[in-house]
Amino acid sequence: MITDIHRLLDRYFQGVTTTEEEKTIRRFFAQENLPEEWHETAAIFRFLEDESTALKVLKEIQREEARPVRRTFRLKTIVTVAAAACALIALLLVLQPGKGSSSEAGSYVWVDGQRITDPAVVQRYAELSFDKVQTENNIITEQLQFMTE
Amino acid sequence: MDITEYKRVVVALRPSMLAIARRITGNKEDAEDVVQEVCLKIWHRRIEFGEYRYENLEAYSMTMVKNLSIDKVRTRRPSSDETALLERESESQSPDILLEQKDDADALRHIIGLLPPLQQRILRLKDLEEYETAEIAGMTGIAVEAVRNNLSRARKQLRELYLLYYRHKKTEL
Amino acid sequence: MKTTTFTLTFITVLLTLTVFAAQAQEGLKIQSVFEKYGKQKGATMVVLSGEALHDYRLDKYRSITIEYDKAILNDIQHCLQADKKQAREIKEVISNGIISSGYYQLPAKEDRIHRYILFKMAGDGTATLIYMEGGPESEALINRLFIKRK
Repeated sequence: MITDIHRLLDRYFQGVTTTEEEKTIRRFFAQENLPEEWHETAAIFRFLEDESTALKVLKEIQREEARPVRRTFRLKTIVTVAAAACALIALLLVLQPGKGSSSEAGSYVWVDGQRITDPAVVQRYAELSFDKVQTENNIITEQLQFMTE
Repeated sequence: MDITEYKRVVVALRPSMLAIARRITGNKEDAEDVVQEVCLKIWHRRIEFGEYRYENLEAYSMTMVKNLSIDKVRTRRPSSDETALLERESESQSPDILLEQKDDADALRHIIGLLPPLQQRILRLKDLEEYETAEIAGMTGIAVEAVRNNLSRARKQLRELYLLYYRHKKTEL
Repeated sequence: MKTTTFTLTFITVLLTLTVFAAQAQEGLKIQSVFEKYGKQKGATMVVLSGEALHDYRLDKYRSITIEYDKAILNDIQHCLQADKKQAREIKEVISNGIISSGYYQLPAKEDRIHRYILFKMAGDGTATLIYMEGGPESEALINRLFIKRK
């Protein structure tokens, strides 16, 4: 077991351990009464184990807290690249003032559990969301470039 | 304290902790950071808290939140009348000195925060959030080999820096 | 960087020309993503409808940008995997088994309504999913919009 742990630690610090191996390492260092020489290393793995456990719980709690929140609405400052395509989508979504509220009926955005119906704001969020799915150039070119880097 | 107990405690304390942190730091994000750090501390120190009753845990948490919030504000604005006021206020607190000590967990958390951004992100994703290497490669858009290299560097760096802290701590005792 | 060690990206450009029968499946799995996560903390969901979309032959636009964790990511990936089975056109990038970006055109409902799913994972820990419906003229527009112009 002890020689095993040396090998596992080597692999760990090379970044090549499997999830199972990492669990084994953490189990080893969770033991009581380890020899003095292991105390420093043990502290690291005990920390990682405890921290990841606690983080999981905290994340769970935050997810469960996700009911509509009494949050003050925050307007993100959006910097949109004025590409031709973006201008097109902006045109597409422009909710012209004076056109009456019927064209805006049904458009809204939920941000962090808060619903917003202001047309200008909704438009900005729509543009932003479309920005996020755009790809550079063309997928094929992008990936070929990446592979030949 | 086991995990279920921990969750119960955190759920019970979070609202008031957030309220205090929010009041002092003035914004939601910093408040969440502070409360998260205190909640993590509670878990790391659960053995000690096992000997205490719940009321002590609550008092400790609120004091911790107050002090960390003040620290947060302090690091934002190094010198101003406001911070002078805050400093005075924090000194008048009477926290449990023993529990206030920076401990190994704080040191390690701080060390992780010192790592270069990509290494830090990958270390967190792997060792704290327990994603698989392949998943991390997909999420960060870099090669699996690169993830392993960054992970290796991050883990070695963590060990080296912690070793320095550990040896320094030993010589001080 | 050694190209031999690259297993990172697969380029999948399937121009599936088979047109599915008019029985386009109701109820896409990705709809559940909007329902489940749309109103929660860390999520931004846009729902557009109304006359403004009609001018461009778009009938529906729904998007969600979400700070994902492992569970959410798995959920979204499963939904995409399920829904893309019926796609008639796919452009996607898969890294190590995870769809990191994708464009899917689904069979037209009742021959007139074209449906699209767009998806992308950003480097900041968020993922964006868009669902659109539009008339026949919408296809060219959306194809063009999917590719960013400098």
